[in-house]
Amino acid sequence: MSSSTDRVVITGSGVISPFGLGSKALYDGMVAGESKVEALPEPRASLRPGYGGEITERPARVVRGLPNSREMRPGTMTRYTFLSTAALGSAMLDAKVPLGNEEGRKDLIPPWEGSLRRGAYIASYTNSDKFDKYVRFAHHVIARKKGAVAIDDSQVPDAIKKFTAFEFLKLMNNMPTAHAGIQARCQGPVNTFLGTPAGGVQAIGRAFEAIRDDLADTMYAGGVGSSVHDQMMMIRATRGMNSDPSAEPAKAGRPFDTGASGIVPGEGGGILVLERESTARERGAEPIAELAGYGDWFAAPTSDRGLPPGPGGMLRAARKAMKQAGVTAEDIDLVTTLGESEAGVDAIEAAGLAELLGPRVGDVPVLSLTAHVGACEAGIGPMSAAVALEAMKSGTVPGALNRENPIPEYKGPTSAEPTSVTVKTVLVSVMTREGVNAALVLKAL
Amino acid sequence: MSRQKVVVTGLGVVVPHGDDIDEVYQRIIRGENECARITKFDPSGFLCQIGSEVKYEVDAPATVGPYPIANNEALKYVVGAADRAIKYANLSAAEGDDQDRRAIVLSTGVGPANIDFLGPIALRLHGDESDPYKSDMASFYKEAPDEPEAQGLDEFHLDTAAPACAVLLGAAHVNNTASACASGSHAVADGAALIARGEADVVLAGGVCTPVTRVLVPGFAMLQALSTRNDDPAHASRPFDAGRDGFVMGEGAAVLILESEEHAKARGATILAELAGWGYSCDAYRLTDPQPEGVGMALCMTRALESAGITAEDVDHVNAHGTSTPYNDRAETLAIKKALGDHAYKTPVSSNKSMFGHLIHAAGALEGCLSVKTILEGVIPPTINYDEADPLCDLDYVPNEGRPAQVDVILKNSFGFGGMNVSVVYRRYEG
Repeated sequence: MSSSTDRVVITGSGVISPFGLGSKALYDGMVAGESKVEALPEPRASLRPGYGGEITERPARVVRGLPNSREMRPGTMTRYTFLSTAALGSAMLDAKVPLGNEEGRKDLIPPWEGSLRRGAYIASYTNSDKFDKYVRFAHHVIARKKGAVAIDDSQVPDAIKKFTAFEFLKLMNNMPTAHAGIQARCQGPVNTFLGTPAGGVQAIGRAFEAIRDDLADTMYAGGVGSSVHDQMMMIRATRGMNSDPSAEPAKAGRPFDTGASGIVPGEGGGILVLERESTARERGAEPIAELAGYGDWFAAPTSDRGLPPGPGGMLRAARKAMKQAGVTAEDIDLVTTLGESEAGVDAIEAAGLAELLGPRVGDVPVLSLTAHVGACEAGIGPMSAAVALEAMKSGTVPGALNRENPIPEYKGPTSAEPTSVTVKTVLVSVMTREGVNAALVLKAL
Repeated sequence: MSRQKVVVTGLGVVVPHGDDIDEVYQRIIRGENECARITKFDPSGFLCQIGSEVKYEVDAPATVGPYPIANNEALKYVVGAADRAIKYANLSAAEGDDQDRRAIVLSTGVGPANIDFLGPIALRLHGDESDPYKSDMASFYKEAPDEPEAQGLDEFHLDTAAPACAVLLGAAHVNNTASACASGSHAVADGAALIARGEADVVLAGGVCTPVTRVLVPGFAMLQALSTRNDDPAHASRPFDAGRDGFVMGEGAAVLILESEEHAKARGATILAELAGWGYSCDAYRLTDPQPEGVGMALCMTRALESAGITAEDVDHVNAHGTSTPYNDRAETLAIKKALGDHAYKTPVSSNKSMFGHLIHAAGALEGCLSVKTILEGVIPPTINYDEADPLCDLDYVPNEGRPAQVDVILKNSFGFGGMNVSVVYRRYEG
């Protein structure tokens, strides 16, 4: 019997990252101080910056070992949907939420065990990942007219035949969660959150509220992102946002460091399993932490710099989450951040951390994934949360990789060595250049 | 925690029938059609040549805060709709801490659409090479980022739409979501939930979509989702009719201003309707087809009724998803009967899409706006092009002519590719 006064707890997490499948793989890699940012193969090696944190294992191989894998079709997935499927499958394995009819869905009429009260909110910046595909399409339909280049519509009907119908369906931006609904057998609320890297944290926050609103007892929530495919690399390159091509790949991601030269392409996804505490206890699950607070705040970028005017939005989001969780800066044992590795954004985020943590800023570990795997877009918050949960379990927090020469605004720890910390309260904060900020507070149980 | 009552105080649209919701509604109840041969490109030879387009000059600000609007069609639509809704509600942008009580829930996009900018890139890359797969992408990638044409990639994404609306409204909370064809209602329901739980006083909720493009129209035609009645476009969108063969792609934007009753009354706002309840479900079935028994669709309708605290007998009208595809309309009919029982046969069910096609991410919000107007004006919009009954679709679909009626409660359905379903209950506001 559910109760709307129950706490919302986290009973598992799933990650897909360049370190492999599972939260532990990412966490172990970070504790070891490793970076998976490496040179990319051609032709992307020629697209600035030419390196990134990429998951190199074939999607079909990854999906094969996941729950309900027989119902999943990697050939119908974009990169984003693959990341969502992998992270969700990893979370399903970790939390062991019963699905019912484990042998495969022979009966197409739901419900299955728990499905009526189960949902999924997953964030993805977009679901479009193949720039070269569109260029090739355009190649088929261009014509020179009076010296100018234009699309020749009469060529489109033939050109379109070179693509399968699924090519168009799979580009719809709700496909990551559409697959997730099938994969995890969700008949509750299912939605996709778009937009900025804060989207993953927003999805978790909204899922938290969906349980509190009694729309569901179990929510899979998180985000995925890839900036290592040619389309996103091209977008960033045209804006001059990618990092220095001459940098050593493993040292290119430098959050809060004076040597940071821009965004390092990367990819990954993270999903948390949120449950009403009574539901989790009834099925014998062992909750890891309570999701105790959520906050978000939008502060529009300024027209001149294209960046938020300061850390005000980030602070408001964090303080809302902390207030809801009933904690103060004194209670925070670990902060996870965006750490974009771009000077302007890092300066704002670092200033926000200093103001938020006050005199404790030098002592509280500041986690950033970008040095290890690059920019994972909407995956960054959920993946960071998953790593924080591992730190909560083990008492060891990964060090600050590539942060030897911190920017003046950054007052936090800089040691690359992992540290032993009793992690009871975590602030998961994502501040974005787009001005959308979101934060969560996790409390150990 | 007690639930706040949610009311509607503003409506705004930029859609094929016009940009004034009052006039749009009048045209809709007269059964006027906007589905026609596509004009934005030459569709000759296309499997589907029909669309529902915005053919007038859209009046929208050139910039909003830091965001350029004028050169992006979708941004013009949504900013234009948001601007109208905010004015309709007699609101102005909040400042400072007041922004904490305002939010945006906006659904955007349907994937990459406009490829015009790729022409020069493709030519430069491939030259006269007949097989583009033999092209040297590496040398292209080295130089392309410095080419101005590549800037067109920005148009692939609509990530500034919701932030631009937030600047207009003065909102501190921005949610950009997508559940395909269910998106518009999904945004409305999510916005209502923010108010109901006391998190916001004012929410701008809705969606925008510009899918009438030379990529997406043939693409969705390949999926067999679109009508190919090319020789008779005005009769192509025919929900629930036996001769239906797919939907017509439409474009535009629609938003609603939702408020807590307390906030609306305190500022003396005109309350248009109550947003009484909402329900979500997922089919967990297939990516393209609805669950054939309508299980998920019925589930979200039932949940919406429960959320509103009403029974099936209280429903005066169903504003259907009604896409005009063979599968959807049959499954929706089954689902309405599951959810409403015998009352389904007494309930007028109409599909507004018969007149403007399917605006995908904006559809649920536009049809929500029309539902509010239906309650206020007392005429149920017709389902036009309804000529021949389908034995599997045996409800009262308000065929071809608007119907005067006292309508106090409307159940609005929206169902998306991927099996995401949302139903919303609009109710006459009783004060």
